[in-house]
Amino acid sequence: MRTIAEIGTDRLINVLVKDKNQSPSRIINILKSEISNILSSYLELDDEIVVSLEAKKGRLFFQINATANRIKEFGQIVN
Amino acid sequence: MARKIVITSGKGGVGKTTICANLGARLASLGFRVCLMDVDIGLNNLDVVMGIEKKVMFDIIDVIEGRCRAKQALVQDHRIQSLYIMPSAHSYSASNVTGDKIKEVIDSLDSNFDYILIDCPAGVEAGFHRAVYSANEAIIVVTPHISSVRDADKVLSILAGYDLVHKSIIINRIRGDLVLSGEMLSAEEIVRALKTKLLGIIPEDDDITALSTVGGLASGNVAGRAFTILCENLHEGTRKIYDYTMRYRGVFGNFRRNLKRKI
Repeated sequence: MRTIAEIGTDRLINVLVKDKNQSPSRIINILKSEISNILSSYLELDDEIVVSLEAKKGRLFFQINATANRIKEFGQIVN
Repeated sequence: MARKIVITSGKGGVGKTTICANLGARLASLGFRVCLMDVDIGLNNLDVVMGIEKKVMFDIIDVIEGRCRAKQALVQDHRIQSLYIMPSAHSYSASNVTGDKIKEVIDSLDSNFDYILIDCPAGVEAGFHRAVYSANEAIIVVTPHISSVRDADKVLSILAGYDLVHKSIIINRIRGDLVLSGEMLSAEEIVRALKTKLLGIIPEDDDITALSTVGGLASGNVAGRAFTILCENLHEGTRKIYDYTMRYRGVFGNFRRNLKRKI
């Protein structure tokens, strides 16, 4: 049987994750736009980037997926 | 230059004022010049906890509004010479007080003290921000209850927006007997959840409650030893932690635990 403290710890972790995870869609949209801006400076993006957020064991895992057609040419040193 | 440390929590009733008073007294008894600032305007209690309520002539509002100088408002502790208290006003609309004004008062005392401990109001409203604004370090007091840890986590995320040198937590009112029997969150679980440096642990101690009623401070009792370790950690940067379950381990510990349950 689980102890009160073990149940309490699980509840605590869930509460904290839920609190930190508030309005994730808004954050994801902002992140998407920011990351897209940065990546576009270096890559010719193929499609819209995909950002996903998952809460696991009290931590937040962000996954960013982007596909690009090519790397933009930049910073070439002319001999 | 003084170390300006705000003692905060988010949740009320976790023992901020008691920790501020006892930590300040412990530091002062080691010879440091310590000032305890009560910035809980309208709900001040530091004067009562320190037992100096009859000695208060001026308060922080009088200083802000120019009726006296900061040094005139300070009340010297009757037990320890190097310990001073800046009382707060009991009835005043805090809306007229800005963080800048509090900071001005605290900065004016900077060169006179080694430590300025700022007793922060509960909550994360204007009073909280006024208190944190003047500090360069923060201590978050947390009890082993989900609601308290949750509020501490919220406070930590707000404090991330401030330019603070150190942020650490103190776990207050933990009961070793209940932790050992699996009925209370342990200090390790709280630290893991908050992911913040643990400055110290203060166990639940009936003497603290009794002493605070008469304006007394923790001395040679259980919490008194824990405050000594806490004080060393704060000043010397050590990472010693009071063993709050020690009294309840072994044969005598088991006996003490069982006895406590029956009482």
